Amino acid sequence: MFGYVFRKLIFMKKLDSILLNVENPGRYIGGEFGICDIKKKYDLTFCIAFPDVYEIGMSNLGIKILYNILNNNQHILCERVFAPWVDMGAMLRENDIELFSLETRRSLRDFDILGFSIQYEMAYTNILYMLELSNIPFYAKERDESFPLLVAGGPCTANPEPFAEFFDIICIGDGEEVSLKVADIVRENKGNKTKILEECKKIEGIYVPSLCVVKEGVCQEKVKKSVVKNLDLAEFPAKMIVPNIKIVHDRPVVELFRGCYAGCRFCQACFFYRPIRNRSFQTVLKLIENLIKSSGYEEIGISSLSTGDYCEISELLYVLPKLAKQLNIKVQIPSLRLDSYDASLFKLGRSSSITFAPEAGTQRLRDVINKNITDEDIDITIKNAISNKCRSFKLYFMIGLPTETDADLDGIVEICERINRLYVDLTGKKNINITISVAVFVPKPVTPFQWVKQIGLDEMTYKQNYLYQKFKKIKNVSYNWHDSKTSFVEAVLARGDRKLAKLIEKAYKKGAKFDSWGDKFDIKYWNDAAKDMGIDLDIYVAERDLDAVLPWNFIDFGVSQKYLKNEYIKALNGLTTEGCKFNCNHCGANKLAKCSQHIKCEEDMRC
Amino acid sequence: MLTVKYSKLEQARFLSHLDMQTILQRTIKRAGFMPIFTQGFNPRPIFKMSKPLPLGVASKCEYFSVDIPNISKEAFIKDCAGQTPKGIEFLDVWVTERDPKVFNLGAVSEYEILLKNIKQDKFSLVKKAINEGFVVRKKQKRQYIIQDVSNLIVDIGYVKNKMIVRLLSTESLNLRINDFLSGINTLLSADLEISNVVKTNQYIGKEDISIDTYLSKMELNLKK
Ligand code: SF4
Ligand code: SF4
Repeated sequence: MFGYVFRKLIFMKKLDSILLNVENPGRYIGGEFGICDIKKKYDLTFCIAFPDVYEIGMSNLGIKILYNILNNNQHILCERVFAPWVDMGAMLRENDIELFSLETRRSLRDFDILGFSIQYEMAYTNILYMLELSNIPFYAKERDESFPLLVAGGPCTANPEPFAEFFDIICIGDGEEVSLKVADIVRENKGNKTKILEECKKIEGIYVPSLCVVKEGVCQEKVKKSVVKNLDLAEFPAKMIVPNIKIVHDRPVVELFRGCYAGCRFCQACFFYRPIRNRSFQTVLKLIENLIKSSGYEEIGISSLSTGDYCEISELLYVLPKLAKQLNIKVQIPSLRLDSYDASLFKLGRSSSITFAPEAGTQRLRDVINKNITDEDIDITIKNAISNKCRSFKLYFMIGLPTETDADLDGIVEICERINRLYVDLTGKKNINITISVAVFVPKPVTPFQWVKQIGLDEMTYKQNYLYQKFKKIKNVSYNWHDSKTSFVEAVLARGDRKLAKLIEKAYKKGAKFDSWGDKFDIKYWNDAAKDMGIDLDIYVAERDLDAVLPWNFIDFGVSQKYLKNEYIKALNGLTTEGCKFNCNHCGANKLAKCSQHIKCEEDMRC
Repeated sequence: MLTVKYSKLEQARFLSHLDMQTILQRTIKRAGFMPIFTQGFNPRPIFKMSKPLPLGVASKCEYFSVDIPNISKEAFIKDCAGQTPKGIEFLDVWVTERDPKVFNLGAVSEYEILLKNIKQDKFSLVKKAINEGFVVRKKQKRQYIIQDVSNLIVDIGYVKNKMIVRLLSTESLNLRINDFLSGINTLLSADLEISNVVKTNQYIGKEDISIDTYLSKMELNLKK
């Protein structure tokens, strides 16, 4: 006991002087309002790990939901850890301190379960960074019972193969119910990893890489994605942690529905999160009220992939302004699709700027990607926004989409010119700001474009320069573009196979970490790692044969391969598919759980 | 106007002044109190804080004022209990008619410095230095300067392994505790750290009138 207290004192002393010498020490102190009760009795410790900095991790709704669910269980104490920024990482190493959780400052190594939430491919090296700082071996096969069970979850599990060998189990799909089941199994079988893995494998949504037979790089088992069948019954925190420092999305958030009706063909989130499940309007209002009262925040976000498509949007829009006024709060509404845009949504945010994503510059290309919005929709939205005193416009586009030509790039420029003209016509003023953000298309698993090649680095540079030359001549427009090399590595990792675990490890050992941070990313680490391994990264971004077995084909996402293939063929023929809000397109997702409109449909007896 | 005295201890020491402002405002709202907002396009709560505390310094005597209509002191303290993050605690409350302007009130700040491994006899060296000229290296306008700061030290004492020091902390005459500490470290070849320091009191001038006393008087005037 004395030894423990003494060690803790030394640790605290060291930590104090470290915190005085790192950027933004508030990231590492914990103690926020709303954290779990660390004095409670428990028999299982769970740490949610987010492989990026606190400000980004704490903006993620998923980990807040899981934190709440796990801590509401009488047996579990659930804590958090985020990737320490490079200065803190170096200090921890220098002072021989293992990476620790925020709540009790326990070393990650001492937890029963360490669950990583993996949101984007460029965070893969940070997983290894966090493991190394915790003295935890990278590969599952190198870890015995004395180490925590390593679990992965989050949208990157759409293709878990590149990081599969690092993890003991991978949770594919919604984590609300599965995480508790895994925790139960670990609690009941502590010290017996073999039994834990075997039992976990029986849970729907759980993939145990070490127990799967792999032939020619492809897993031979079938794993079904887990889904929460009824979102209204699923636990959603009525109280959330209120961070002590400013975070990226600094507000509590209520999720309206999961999945998306639109079916844009490049969009992984749309298909990965299907079937579409609604949270009822009454539940949403109750949650908003509870969250505002329990957090003290001055604003709230309502979130979902395409808010305007929410089944009860008109009811919500009728009541929300009143509630916002009563509680003296702002309501933030992200992710507007232009066709669902409504002036009342805009008014609610009390903001003088609007963000939207036409994604492509011409109607032809928007048809290819199934972004079902027209030039007329864009004009109506802009006019609406201008009449609501908006003078700042942020537009997102992509380059490198299948079948794209220079004419489509010209279309992006034309949209901006049109907004400029409309603004002058309607206001007589020129004080408009237009920000254009152009990303490079990355073909992602579980989308109709999962077979498509990514354009080469030279072509990316050509297209970025093409736009730069055009935009430089237009007033009031600032043009930003994503780094092409980062998009290339993202595409490699997104559609990679098990061989890439070694690539990630090698790149990390050469210096790659915080790859999603522009100033930290260096493609040299990745190229050198590939060279050492003798693999050609271009193969991973090349076009795939429609009949090829893809590394993620062993997972049943609900949405069928046949549907995705059909959508791809329609894309090449410039044919669109209408969103499924009113008519089901039979994508297959409803075999996992009924889509909300199916339920509604049955209730209406119209089926 | 409601003025609250609060402590900022443990890991909360590492929170910036700006973060503290948001934390305190959210705490009040969570407790169910709605401050009066300024008028205009971007309304903000009427909310004022005492001078910023250097990062890493613990304090038992920070203040903020907020305008909340029809407020009862007792209800405020009771309802805010349990609403603060770890390390921050509301200690006392005063209701005054006028705005006490807490930012300018703390003309002298008192600190307790834990002297590990420094014996009392060494302390006489400090006293002597202060009488004869106590020199520190401090940052001013992005440059380091060497300055005799004896005139900014109001008082110094030693109690049970602790140095108690009162430093001027007005807008124009101000000795930061970090600078004082580095001066002591140089003088005694010691390695005292900011984590050994707690700010224990604030006074409105060189006399012994603490902010607490001043606020109590203001409150009494209101009652009269
Ligand atoms: S609207 Fe399109 S891009 Fe947005 S979430 Fe839905 S499918 Fe994806
Ligand atoms: S099953 Fe039908 S309604 Fe459900 S997501 Fe698929 S297409 Fe849409």
